[in-house]
Parts: sequence; structure tokens; C-alpha cells
Amino acid sequence: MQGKPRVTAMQHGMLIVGTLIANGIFSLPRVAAQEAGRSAWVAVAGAGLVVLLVALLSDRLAGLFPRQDPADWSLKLMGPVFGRLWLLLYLVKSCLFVVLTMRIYSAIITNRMLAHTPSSAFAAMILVLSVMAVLAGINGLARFAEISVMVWFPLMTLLAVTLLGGHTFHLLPVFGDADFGGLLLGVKSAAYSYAGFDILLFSYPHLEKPKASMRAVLWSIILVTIIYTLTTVAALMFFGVEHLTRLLVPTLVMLSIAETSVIERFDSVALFMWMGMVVVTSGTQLYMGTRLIQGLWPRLSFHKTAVFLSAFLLIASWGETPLRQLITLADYFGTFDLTFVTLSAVLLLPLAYLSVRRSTHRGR
Amino acid sequence: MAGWWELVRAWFAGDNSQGNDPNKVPLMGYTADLRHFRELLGHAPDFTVREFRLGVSGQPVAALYLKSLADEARIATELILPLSAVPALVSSSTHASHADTVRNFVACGTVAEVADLSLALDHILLGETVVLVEDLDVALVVDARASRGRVIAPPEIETTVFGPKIAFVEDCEMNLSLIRQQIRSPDLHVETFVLGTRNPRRVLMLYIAGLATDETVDQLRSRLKAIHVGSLLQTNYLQQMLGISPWSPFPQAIHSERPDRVSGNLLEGRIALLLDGSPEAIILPMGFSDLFQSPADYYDHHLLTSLMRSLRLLAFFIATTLPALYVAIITYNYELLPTDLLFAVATARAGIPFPPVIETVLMVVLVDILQEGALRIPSKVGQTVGVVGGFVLGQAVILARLVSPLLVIVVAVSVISSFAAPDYRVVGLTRLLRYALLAAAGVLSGIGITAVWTGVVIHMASLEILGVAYLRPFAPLRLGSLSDFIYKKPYRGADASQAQRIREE
Repeated sequence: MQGKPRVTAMQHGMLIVGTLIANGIFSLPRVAAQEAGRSAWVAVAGAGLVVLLVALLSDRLAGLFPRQDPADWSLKLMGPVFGRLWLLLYLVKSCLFVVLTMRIYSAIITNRMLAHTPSSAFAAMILVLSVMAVLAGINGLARFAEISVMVWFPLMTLLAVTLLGGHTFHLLPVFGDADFGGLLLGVKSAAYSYAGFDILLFSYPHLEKPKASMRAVLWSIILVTIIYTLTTVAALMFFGVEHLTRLLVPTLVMLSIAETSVIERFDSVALFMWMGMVVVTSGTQLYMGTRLIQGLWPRLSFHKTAVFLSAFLLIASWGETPLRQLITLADYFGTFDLTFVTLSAVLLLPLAYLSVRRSTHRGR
Repeated sequence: MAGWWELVRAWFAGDNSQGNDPNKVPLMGYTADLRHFRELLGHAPDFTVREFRLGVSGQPVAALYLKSLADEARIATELILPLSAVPALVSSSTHASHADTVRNFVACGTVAEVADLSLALDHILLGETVVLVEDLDVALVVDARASRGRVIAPPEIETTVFGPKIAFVEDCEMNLSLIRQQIRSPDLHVETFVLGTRNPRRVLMLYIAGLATDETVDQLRSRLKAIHVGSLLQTNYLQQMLGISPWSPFPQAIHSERPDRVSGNLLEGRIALLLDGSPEAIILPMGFSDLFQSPADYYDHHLLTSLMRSLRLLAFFIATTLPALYVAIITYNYELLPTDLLFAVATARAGIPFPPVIETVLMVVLVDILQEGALRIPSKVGQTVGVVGGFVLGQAVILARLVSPLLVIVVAVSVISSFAAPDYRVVGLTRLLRYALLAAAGVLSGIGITAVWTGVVIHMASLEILGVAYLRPFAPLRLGSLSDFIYKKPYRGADASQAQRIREE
């Protein structure tokens, strides 16, 4: 890492919130309700708890290698073969995430707003903006995430409007139609909405005050969990389980019902403002992907790698894919992502402890 | 081979002439130096050589200056007269003490020594007087510049109801004295740089030691030293030459004509640059929020200030985005408008032959041409053109059904809003953004507008002025600094803590 670390704890948290909140918030109530029924919100909150635990483990892992990100320590920790394999798998995960995020956003825009514009045009636009954010470096990206979340956050107040229009009986009984297995499936299906919190591994080395990281991770994931849970509660109250499971993007439908004397359709406003969050997500993943490539081939320049990677991703994902298909893919990806990050944290943490202890011992 | 050996030999002998400045011309002796200056400046009618003899010893002395810049009366009374009357006791001293004799008997300003003809030439061009004495191996530089600039006048751009009514002038010494009148502290450091090889100009770098960070000062100092330019006429060139982010359309330094504003910023830990010949100072580092702060803010009630700052920010958004929003809503995103309003808009547009984007671009271009034309027209006729352009043309295009009345309101509000920001450069910035947003809205609806704004925010997030984030205090969010961003809290003599915050940022 070069230069003075300047990412604040607030930005560290905002990077996590920004990365997480863009994924699946519009379809989360549906996918959770499909598996867990009326207990969907419990499943969403449960998924948040699982993610929080994994994130805290990841934070501990990052703390063992101050001023280094996975691209720097993976080979040292796992050796050249396993290290490279892990980096490669991680790279694939990040690339898939970028593609899914931009394709889902583009498909929603094409479906709901500009039917005659190819969704690849929007995907290209998102990628260009993401590359711009990545080229600004982690500090620029963190500042952008901070602004995006702050601008986007007032939109959450609209949830209150929809909560007022809902019916509480849709929520009852809380555990009425889901057993423990259903709840677990609900947790699994909510995983995509929580994907991307592992950006903390990459922003940790740039923190001004690394000790503040854990607090930032805690509040950011709790905040996201509260937003997701409230959104799911609102959707359940508003539509009821049966109606909810028939809607592709229930959060947007819900927002379209809230209106004022100046703006009639808030779903369009939400889609406009969502772009910032989408760029944060694809930007962070592109940053991670670029760093991971640098971990595999350290001599490559950061800027050129970022540009080439994004161009590759655009070409590789060119074409039209139906939104429903993309959301199904996202569901699988969410499970893969959570499994990969959880296993990485659980397996690498003891290894890292041993490695750090050994090097401390040698130092003495 | 021989060249290599020469280098080694020179190094061992301590001869480092290889690394010397190639432009350096050593003094060659009284007569040769005089000839050299006459050859260089002889063509200039204002170049003056006053030869006289040093007191009783009668050694030849020459005072060289440009009479258009120097004060001849002072040179006569404070330089030539005392040196001509040096008593025998002093003048009979050794040659080595001639410099001391001159220094002791000259009554004006400071006396410095230079051993380089090109440097001496720079001093003459800056208005100072170079004194050559026979048998002296250095030239002496005496500061006897005339103050021929205009008198101090009230500010023209940054006007305020309260507060000092003085603005900078073209003389940077005078400007420095205006700042010194506000800051009477020994910690106010002033560093001088001479920039421009063909047309040398002095640049003064001012900062308060202990308040400005060493990192920022060092960074700016090295940037100033790295400037290699033939001529530097205005502060705007200087700002561009600092090379912070030359392609960015966002203003990257505060330009101010008010000594009180500069002093206030120095006390907040910023650095000011004064360029000789320019009636404004550059203040660095600056952030986006500085574009919406006016000197008047510090003389008004803090609640009024907070309200006005919010309005300025809102006006910036309206100025840039309102025409684009009109295009996006009318063309694509009509679902955003309530039905009644949508019908009203549709009725107003009925019979307009152009699509909304063409209609809007036509109107915006027309207004921009009017604005640009009004700038060039003499002020007495300018008002008439404004009235003709604004009222008559506006009315005519509506009657001719070329644009809708609603669009005229939209464009008028947008243009007027662009003048709400205290910094005039915001007008140019809003124009650029307005066109970019219009194009994006015409092609990609509201999504296009969001994309442009996202790009703009990313660009601003990536900007750093001397290591300070452009978007501070929003990103990185510093709650303490927000007290002087949109909301301004009452002043409690907290300049030290303000400076501390800037240091932290």
C-alpha cells in the first residue's frame, strides 16, 4: 500500500452499506417470502445476523495484516498454489458480482422505463462510471460511497408511507407457515442482498484508524439489516404473502404507490437514485477484481488493469438476459458468495493467527 | 573518454560547474557589465543609467533602472546623493568594504547583493535599481520602486454591505501591506518566488506558520518551484500552472479581491498567493463548498447566512438541471408528474413543432448568446440589449409557437439561478453542466441526468487540492466542519479550532 491511509471509519462503513444496499433490495421481500412465507422478515433479519458474524470474522482477519489487503497476503498465507487458486476463485466471484449488479439494474431500467433502449447500453454506462470511481482510488471510491449513501438514504423515509398503508394481520402469525428449514432457506435466499461486505478486507488497510473498523462494520451491517427487515415487513404488510410472491420487484411496486402533490411515481425516482448505489457496488467489486489480478500478477498497473477488466466484463456480458433469469442467477450467486466468504474467513483466520504468531516468534 | 575523466577530475576538485544553471552569467567587471546591460536594454526608452562617482575616492558607480517602474526622485535623494557625498574617511577604506559603504549610505529600502547578470536583469525588470561599483565583484540591488498603481478602491465583484471597503490593487507589495494590516502576527510567513523566464513576475506565498500544515506548504512550494514558464500574466494562469487538475472544469482555488477574505482564510490554515500585477489573490486549498460562500456571510446574521447558503446550493442545482429535467419529464418520464400538472404542461406545449430537447437547446443557446453578447456591449447599451433580448425575443418566440411559455420560464429561472453563487466561475461551470445534462436527458431520460451527476460526483470525489479532498466537509464527513458549510453557527472566536479542522482534513 502506498501513501498515507486516509479512509475514515465512516467511509469504511459507507463502503459496506453502499455495496450491500444496491443488491436485491427491490426483489428481496419476494425471494424471502417464497421460502419463509410470513416469516420472511425473520429470515432477512437472521441473514443479517449470519452476515454480521462472518463480517466480524473477516474484520479480525483483515486486522491481522494491517496495511495489506488479500492481494498482498494470500500467497504468503496459503502458499503459491492454493493462494493463486483462492485469488482466482475470488476474482471470478467479484467479476460475476459486477456483471450481475449491472445487468439486473439495466434489465429493470429497460423493463420499467426505456423499453426501446438495449439494456447493454445501460450496462456500459454503469461500467464506465464504475471505472471512473475505481480510477479515483480507494479514497475517491470511499468518498463517492459516502455521498451516494447520504443522498439515497432519505428515500427510505418513503417506507414509512408504505408501512402506514399496510395491514399488520399479513404478518401474523409470525412463524405461522414456516418451519426451521423454511427459515434457513429464507436466510439462504436473502444472501444475495448481503453480498459484497467483504470489501472491508480491501478497505481495511487504508483506514486512518484501523481500531475503529469493527465498530464501522457493526453499525453498517446492522443498518443494512434494519433497512432490509423494514422493507420486507412493509412489503408483507402491504401485499400479503400470496400477492408478494407474484411480484418480480415488489419494493418498486410499493414505491410506485406512494405519491405527493409534486411527484406521482416514486419508483422512478428510486431507480434514478439507485444508480449511485449500483455504481458503488460495481465499483467496489471492480476495485477488488483489479487488486486480485494484481495479486496474481503483481507487475500489472492498477489503472490499466481496471480498464481492461471492465472492458472484458462488458464484452463478456453483452446481450439481453430476461430479468427473471438474472434474479434466479443472483439467488445462486448469493449462496456461492456467502459460502465462499464464510469458508475463507473461518479457514483463513486460524491460519493467519498461526502465521502472525510464527513471524512474531521469529522476530523475537 | 576524456570527457569522463574531466568529470571525475572536476568532482574531486570540487568544481561543480557542470551542475550549475546554464542561464547564469557571472559579473565581468564594471565596464563590461555596463556594456552588457546597454546591449540588452539599450533599446528601451525608459532604461536609465545614472553614472556618478563614489564620494571623495571618486570610484565610478552606475545606477541602472527602468524609470517607468522606479522612483527617480528617491533614487536621486536616497541613493545618488548620499553615495556622492561619502566622506574621505570612509571612502578611503579597502575595496572589499565598498559594498558595506554603499549599504550604509543608501537611505532607501533594502540592499541586496547579486553575483549574476541575469539575476540582476530580472531585478531591473521588476522595477528595482541595480548599482554597479568599479572593482566590486557583486552588483547591489536597491529597492526604490515607484508605486504607480491605482489607488485602493472598494471591491467590485465581492461587494458587501458591511465589512472593509478595500480591494487589492495591482502592486503586490501594497496587497501584502493590506493583509498585514489585518494580520499583525510574526507567524505570517511570506515567501517570494520569481516566475517567468521571459517576463519575470514576483509571486508571494503567504501562510501562517502553525496553522497551515507543513505538508500543504511544502507541496505548494514545490509546485511553484516546478513552474517553468516564459510569461505569467494573471492569477488564472498561475492557478493552471500549478497543475493540480488542469482538465477539471471545477474551480480549484478561491480567487478573491478582498484582503479581509484572504486574511480570514489564512487564519483558517490556508495559503494565499499574490502575483505582482494582479489585483486578486489565490487561496488554496479550496473545496466545493467554498464556491457557495460569500464574504458577506461573515458580516450577516448566521441564520440568514445559513438560509442564503442553502438557497445558493439549490440555485446551483436548478441552474444546471432544471432544463434537463424539463426535457426528461416531457419526453420520457411523464409518469413523475401528477395528472393535473401533466395536462397543464401538455396544453402549454400544444402546437410546438420541435421535440422538447431541440426546443430546449434552441432556447438555452439563444440565452447564452444574449448573455455573451451583453458582456461585450458597452454598459450603457447593454441594458437595452438585455431588455430587447429578454422580453421582446422571449415574447416573440412564444407568439411564433417555436417554444412553449413553460420552457421560457424554465430557462429564465435556470439562467438567473446560475448567478446566485458568489463565485462568478460557477456561471461557466453551470453552463457546461447544463449542456451535458441536456444531451444526456435527451438521449437517456432521467437515467441520463443521474448518470451525468454520478459522473460529476465521482469526479469531485476524486479531486484533491494539495492533499485536501474537494468534497470536504461532506466526504470525508467531518461534523465539526459542517458548522461553516450550509449551516453557519454563531462565531465564538474559534479560528484556531477551524484551522485545526482544516489541518485534520
